[in-house]
Amino acid sequence: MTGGPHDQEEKPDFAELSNRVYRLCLSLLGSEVEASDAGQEAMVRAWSRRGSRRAEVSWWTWCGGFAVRVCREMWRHRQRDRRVSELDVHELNPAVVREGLSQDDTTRLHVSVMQLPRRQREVTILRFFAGLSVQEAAQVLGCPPGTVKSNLHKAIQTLRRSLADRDKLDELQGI
Amino acid sequence: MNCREFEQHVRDRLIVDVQGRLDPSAAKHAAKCRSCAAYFADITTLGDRFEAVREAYDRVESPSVFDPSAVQDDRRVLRPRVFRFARAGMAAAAVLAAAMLIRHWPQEVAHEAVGPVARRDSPENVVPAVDDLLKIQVPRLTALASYEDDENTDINLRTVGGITVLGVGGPRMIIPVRSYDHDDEKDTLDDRGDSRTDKSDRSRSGRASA
Repeated sequence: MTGGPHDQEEKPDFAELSNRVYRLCLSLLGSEVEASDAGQEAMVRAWSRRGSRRAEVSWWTWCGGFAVRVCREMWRHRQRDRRVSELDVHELNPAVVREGLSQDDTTRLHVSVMQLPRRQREVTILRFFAGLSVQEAAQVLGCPPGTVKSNLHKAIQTLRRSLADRDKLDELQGI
Repeated sequence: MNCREFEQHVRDRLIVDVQGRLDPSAAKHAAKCRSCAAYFADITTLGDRFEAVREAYDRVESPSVFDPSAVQDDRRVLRPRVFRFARAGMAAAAVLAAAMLIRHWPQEVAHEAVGPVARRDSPENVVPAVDDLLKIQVPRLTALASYEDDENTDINLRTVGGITVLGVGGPRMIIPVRSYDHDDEKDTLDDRGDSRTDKSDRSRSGRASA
């Protein structure tokens, strides 16, 4: 790249940024192959449009916003193509989740998060899996922090209820 | 602090700081209320699981590292989009112009004759168009046919445009019923001096109007 208007500005740590974007895509999509594609696409878009980035927006939240949008597109294509991945099977058949994954709390929580409505799923992943603050999550999603908080409240209520129900089911099966 | 406020506080704590501690007032409430204590335990468990998932993700490495030199310059990326918008705008303008042209295209008005009028004995045997009929300025045609008293029947016939008609209704309604031969008309005067047609014509006109 030569003679571009953004050559003078500081370059981010691309290795660290790529890792974080990939992790975010992985947690949003649940598939390593799709996460790799989505991460690359998000980085390309974010870098191509870096001229629109404001100074107060960090590189991480700038790239995270593109990652969320790319993952949304891939999620929609996945649903349109009716391509059945392992995660889809769990979503479609709760009995598989209960019987096959009841021992693994982490996986079970992840599947419960993936079954949340889109907005709640995204804020939960950004806040708790990717470790963003409420302000950063609001920047990534392009919405007010109050919206992020209200969606997190709803998501926590839903997750707490579903996990409590499954714990009770495990106890009954243990008896 | 009541139970609702306690639940709100516990969720806020999880949202703002996953590993944060409870306020003294909330801890005091949890010590008294068993359901709130159970709720707090559930939320704490949820927070621990979130932390476990986050730590698991932190160990994941991306299979590839982004290389900015492989990306084209901004202008090369953005230019096709600009042209795409321009093309879409031109296509929309063309469609709009075509629609306006079709809408304002000059059209000839066809004058159609709507149905024949009675013209049995019309010399020309021509069907006049509706517009022609409407051009006949007949303010009022009146038919007075009293069948109760045949002797006093008065039928008012007028000749309009060579056709003798029995008019009924307003100026836009003409019902030609029978031609009338003026040469055969034999006016007679009765005792009262009224002008009357002869009996054959009266009966003929009466049948026609019926």
